[in-house]
Amino acid sequence: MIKRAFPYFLFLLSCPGIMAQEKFSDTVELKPITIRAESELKNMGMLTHKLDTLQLENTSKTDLSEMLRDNTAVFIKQTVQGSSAGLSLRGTNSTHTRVVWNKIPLNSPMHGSTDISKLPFSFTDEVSILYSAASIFHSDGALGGSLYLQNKPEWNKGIRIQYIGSAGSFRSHSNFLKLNLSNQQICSSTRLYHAGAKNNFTYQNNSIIDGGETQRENADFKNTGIMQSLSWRPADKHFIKMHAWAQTGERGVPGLITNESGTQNHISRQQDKSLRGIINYTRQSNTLKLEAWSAFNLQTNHFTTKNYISGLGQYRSIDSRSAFVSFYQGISSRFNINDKHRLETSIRHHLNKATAEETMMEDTYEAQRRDIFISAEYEHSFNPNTWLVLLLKEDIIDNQAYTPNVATTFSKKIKEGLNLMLGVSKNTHHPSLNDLYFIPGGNPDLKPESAVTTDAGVEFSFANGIRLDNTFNMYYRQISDYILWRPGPQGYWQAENIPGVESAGLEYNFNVRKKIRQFTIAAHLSYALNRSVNKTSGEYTLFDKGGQLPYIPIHTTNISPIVLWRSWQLKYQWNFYSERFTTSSNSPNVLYAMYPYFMSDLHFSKSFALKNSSINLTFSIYNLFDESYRSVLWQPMLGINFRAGVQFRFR
Amino acid sequence: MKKSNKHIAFILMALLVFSTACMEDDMQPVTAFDTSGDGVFIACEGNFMYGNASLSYYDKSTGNLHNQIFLKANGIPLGDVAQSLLIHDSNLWISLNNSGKIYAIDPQTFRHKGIIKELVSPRYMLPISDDEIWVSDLYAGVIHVINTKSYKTTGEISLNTGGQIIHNAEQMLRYNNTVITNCWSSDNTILFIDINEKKVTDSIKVRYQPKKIRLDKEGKMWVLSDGQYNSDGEKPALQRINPEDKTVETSIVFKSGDMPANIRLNSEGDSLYIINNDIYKMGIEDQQTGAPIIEGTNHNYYNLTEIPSDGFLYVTDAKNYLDPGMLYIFNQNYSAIDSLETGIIPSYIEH
Repeated sequence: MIKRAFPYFLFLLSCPGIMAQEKFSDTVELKPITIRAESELKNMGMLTHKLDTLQLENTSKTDLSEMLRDNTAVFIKQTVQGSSAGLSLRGTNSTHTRVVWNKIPLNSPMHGSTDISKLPFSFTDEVSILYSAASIFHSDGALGGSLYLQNKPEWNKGIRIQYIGSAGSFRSHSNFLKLNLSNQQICSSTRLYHAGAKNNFTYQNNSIIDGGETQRENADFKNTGIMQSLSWRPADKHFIKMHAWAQTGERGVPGLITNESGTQNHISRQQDKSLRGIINYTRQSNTLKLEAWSAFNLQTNHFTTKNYISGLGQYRSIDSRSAFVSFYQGISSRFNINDKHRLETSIRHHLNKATAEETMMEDTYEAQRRDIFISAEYEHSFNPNTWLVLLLKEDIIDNQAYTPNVATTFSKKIKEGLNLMLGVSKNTHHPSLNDLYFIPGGNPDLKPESAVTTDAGVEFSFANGIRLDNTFNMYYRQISDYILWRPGPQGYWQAENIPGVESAGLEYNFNVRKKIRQFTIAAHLSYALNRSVNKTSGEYTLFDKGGQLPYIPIHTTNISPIVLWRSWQLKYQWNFYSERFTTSSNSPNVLYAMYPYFMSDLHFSKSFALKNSSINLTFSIYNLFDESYRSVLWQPMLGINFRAGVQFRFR
Repeated sequence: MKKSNKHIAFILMALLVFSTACMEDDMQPVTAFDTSGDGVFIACEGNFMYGNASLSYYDKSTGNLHNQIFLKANGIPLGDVAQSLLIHDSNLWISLNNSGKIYAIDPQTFRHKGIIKELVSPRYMLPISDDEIWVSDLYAGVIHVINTKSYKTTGEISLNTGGQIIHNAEQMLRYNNTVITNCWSSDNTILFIDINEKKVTDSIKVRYQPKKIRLDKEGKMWVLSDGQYNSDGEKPALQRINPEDKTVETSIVFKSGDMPANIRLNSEGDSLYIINNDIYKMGIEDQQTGAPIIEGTNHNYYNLTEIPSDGFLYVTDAKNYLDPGMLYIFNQNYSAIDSLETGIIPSYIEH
């Protein structure tokens, strides 16, 4: 292992020797980022998609899952606001989608996924979705892609205050306060957040005898968080950044609508706490950027289910606690050798310690794993209009080195406003600690999943009185040794590798903006097609071949036209999801599949400009046509509901 | 209007058209059935928290298997985790473990006749008299006493034996005036309950997690235990116990990694079928399982029963436990004569 890793260490350590050539510039760090800047050729080649800032303005939403659902064609498996939300990119499941916040992986090392309902949108300044090569470089095991969240310092802006509050149906409410203090050398950002809802809506229960109108119970949630960022520029070229984020959450986990055990039974609740922080040092010039960081992520989770036992009262039938702490260290360098050559390298070290305990069943496990990731990325510009990126990454998991991950992308500007890209990559997803060691059902013999992906894309933009931006990407991916949990004869779920999954799909994003007299009309369209099928072969006949993977819609679309007039804004949001199956046999039966659904929301906002401040009022109507629909089998969804919000900005 | 403005107007119009379309709701059509009721019912567990449990009916006269008959006959889903079935008092009783209820349906029309609600996690049912059945529960710490005429819970039998552990009953079988029940989840206890007094009168310890109990024609009890999850813990085992003196007469310990799914006696009660990947048959006086009678490669056999009227062996296959399973019918020579698709995890067979 050491022999294989050594050349990469030499490679990385060679970079500081070039520092003598550097010239000071911090423009990359300080320059405000615009939408167009993100469509640059290299970003396209690396398949980096940043959320459109226009879509994010004047909103009272604080939930990241809601923002993603409305502005991208990703699929989020979630019932009501505050319930567990799993993000699926490009036909994979939530463990194949990595979420990274300021270089801290937020995916649990235990179950491998991230509950994005726990991530307040207002706690981040920049949201990007990374695919293929970019995803391999900035995260680990992201076979589908990565959600990349960053906080950016604001220098020399004095005092800035932002408050966003909202209240809506079923006692949903959220409050967010941000206080930024900055001068040329120090920048502080303090953010407070609280959100909750009773979610005690009524619905028509047609799934039980004499059902009728029923009130949803035990679907409430509340989340409270605080985040502090401190950035310090002690001297030219030098930056020190610290971020700390503490959060607590509690929610009810309601049963299915077919449950008739009564109000005293099957009462499941979940509590979680998290504390994470990072300190980051950056030295930056025109030619060289060096970064070193150290971070930690601590999370605890407590899940209980109570039932009524005669003579004892409420008694816990499930009392499950889990906790993990992860430590992350890393160094990276980005060296602009000249206009034609760039080299970026990094070494990251992760140490994950986890424990899980089920008190009633007396099941417990403790596990620890050390991961080292060594990456090198070379970018070559044949000319200003042609880029080639080569990436090599070695994963060393618990002292075992695996076949390196590789990626290459080629991007070319054909003419002004027309870019093309091609890419191929190989990525590896290592089993999570639960996959390996959970009792019962963990499988220490699991092999890592391996994915080979090819990408092709075209980007077309046009500006002549009307602004049009189009991006179109296609991909084809083969995953071998796909990890699947399924029930077994002993009654519990077990992890195993199944031979293969094949995915193919496309994504189309379209933005248009046109000014007509005093009106600005804009529209955003995202469409994704993801065909993700089981391709088992040989004697492995336990799965039906060729079926779409469970809970992955083939078609996902959202369209959002916006009309702006002076300080008024009207936005219509339309989302569509095709049929989702829950079995690989893809039976369209009502017990095994959820019918397609679409949602319509309407948002109004009005802004008032005051001296040094502004106020924005919003009013939203969700599920405009009061449709009944399903996101998860036999879980009711909200009918028409409303939310009003206010946003105040000082400076 | 400029050309570009026309395009925008077109997009807005198209959106309006999209938004006025309608979606399906959960109302399901109802189908009328009128069968002899002399077929084989199969409870298909479905997956926990998926709500995809279903009921299948194999019509022996036509050789057809009808799936999801509860949904089709009543227009509503069966619920979450169909645990067991019982034909008693002209009803088919279906316990829904994670829906906290038991449905009673007409075995010929499959139409709903009654429901017993507000149970915690009902598992298995045992008839005690014409109008009384007992129901075990995974979490309630009691056995529920149900009146089959009124569809009401009329009482409960505490399983508290005074120790720290709350016992929960699983399968039940009747031995003279005693009900014997195995306590499966994280337990290793067999309880003996006096039917008249409705009280636990005795208990014994067996190997960890006894999940199936059967009574052979000699009145001896067979207990199949899971063993412990960890590889160095207790292994799965099959024990034959004399309920009179509680002595263990036969003990077969499976090898590490084995996951025996079920045991069942033949029609005469003198042989035992064992599902341990393959299917085995052993005499009740034998001390080992012998060679398999049916190979289990590429199958996950889950339950079986031998039906006296035709002498055939009905075997369910859970396949991958996520997709619809299969029912296989084997003749007396253990050759498959039919295979039919069922619901997900076909588990309990009643006829």
